[in-house]
Amino acid sequence: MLNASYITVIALVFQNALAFLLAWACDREIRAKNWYRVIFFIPPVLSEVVVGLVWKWILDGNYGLLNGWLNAVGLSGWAHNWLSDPNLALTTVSVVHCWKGFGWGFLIFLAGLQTIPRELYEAARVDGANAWVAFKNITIPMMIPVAVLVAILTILGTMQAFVLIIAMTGGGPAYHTQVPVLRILGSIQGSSRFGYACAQGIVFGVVLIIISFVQYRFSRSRKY
Amino acid sequence: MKTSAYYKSKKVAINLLVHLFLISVAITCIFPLIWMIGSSLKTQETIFRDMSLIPHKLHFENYYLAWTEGGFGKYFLNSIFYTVSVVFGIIIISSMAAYAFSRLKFPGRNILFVMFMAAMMIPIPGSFVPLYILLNKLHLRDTAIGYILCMVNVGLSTSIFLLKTFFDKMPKELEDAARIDGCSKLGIWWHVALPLAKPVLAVVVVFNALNVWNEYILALIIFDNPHLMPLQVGLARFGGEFITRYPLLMAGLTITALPIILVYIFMQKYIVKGVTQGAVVG
Repeated sequence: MLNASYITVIALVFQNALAFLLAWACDREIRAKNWYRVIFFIPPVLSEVVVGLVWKWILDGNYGLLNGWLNAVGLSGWAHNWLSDPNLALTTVSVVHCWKGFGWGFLIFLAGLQTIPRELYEAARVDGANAWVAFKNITIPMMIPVAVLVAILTILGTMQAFVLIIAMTGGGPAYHTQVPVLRILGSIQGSSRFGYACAQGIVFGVVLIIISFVQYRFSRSRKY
Repeated sequence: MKTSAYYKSKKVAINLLVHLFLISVAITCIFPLIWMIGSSLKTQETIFRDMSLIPHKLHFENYYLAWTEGGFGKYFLNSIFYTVSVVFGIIIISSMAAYAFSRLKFPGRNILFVMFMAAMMIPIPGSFVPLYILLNKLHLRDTAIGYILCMVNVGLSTSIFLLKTFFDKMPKELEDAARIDGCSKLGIWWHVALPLAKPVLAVVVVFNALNVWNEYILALIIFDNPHLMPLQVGLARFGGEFITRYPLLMAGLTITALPIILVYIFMQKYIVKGVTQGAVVG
């Protein structure tokens, strides 16, 4: 559970900050913004197994591309056993999880930004507000509901992010990337303790349902 | 004049920075895929030394080996079979159910609908233990039909919700006209409601197809027999058994990922729509 929370916190902060920045950058009048939108959503449509196995190969301690590059540019000291070092594995998995997930946040933020009426910005400019003031006083207050929505979706998604972990580390090294769902699976397939697995499943399910319920109430209370 | 030139160059500079930022993120999105395809074209000997993106000699035989020896051909056909049948089932059941929820008055309608919506909030990880036991008791574990039924069930709630929202907004006059012409309720569903719902149906089809294709955990629990496994489980199994045969593994990954990427690029209009609508629903 602690591990899942760790991944969730990292995902909440970095993934959504990145998603918001990208959405904000894409919201302006720039060229090729549809191209960017298409590309940013490629990682989310891939399956977790595919993403996990590709990244496992890139991050491989002995033959991986990342370490190969680090060695080639003379930063051998930075090369690590990304997935088999107990201190690093969880962070590595979290970063890959963010890579896969930021596209969702990006799309929702972008949709949110596009609902802000342009007139507000024009009025602000007439009143002499510069870009930063307009951003602080218009964009941020208008985006807070969307941000809460994205945050809850991120929490739900991340708590259930276990396929990626199965594909990348299998919960190892020595349970350093173990998460709740993996434990439930282990109880079924490893030791066939169905009652125990069921209890774990219910506890975990209740936690998720509470979070979903908050989100449901929230999306009810507000119209898009 | 000077100030306008100043503002113009400032704007160009900002746009340049923005593009730089976006492009660098875009590269990190695509790069692993290119590396995957590149690796799949190397041989067992060169893959550990050759760090070039596109190898000098392209070894397409990896794909042939992965398809036959690695078993990905079998997994691929299984995945296609499951995807098509699940999506077909979802479309038929959810459109009928949504139409009934939207148009027919019958006792218990609201309670049933709330139950469907509540099912949407139960996460799969919380429910797969009872599901496993249930399927075992019904002797449906390790069979294709068991998996298809489960996956239809997974996709049903969201699809019903999307379609019902659409049917609720559909003008009643069209149906009245059909009824006067002597159309039965089923006939109206087939001849009037379904054709009108095409845009929503497209969202439902694309979303569920992606979902089934990428589904892993249920398939992992349900299937023991490798002849029935879909691609995702097959991949994980291959990765576990032949851990060092990276070129074949990468070829298998490409076989799995490519259809999804193609579908995504052609259908991205519907996917974007589905994400933004689905986010509101949860």
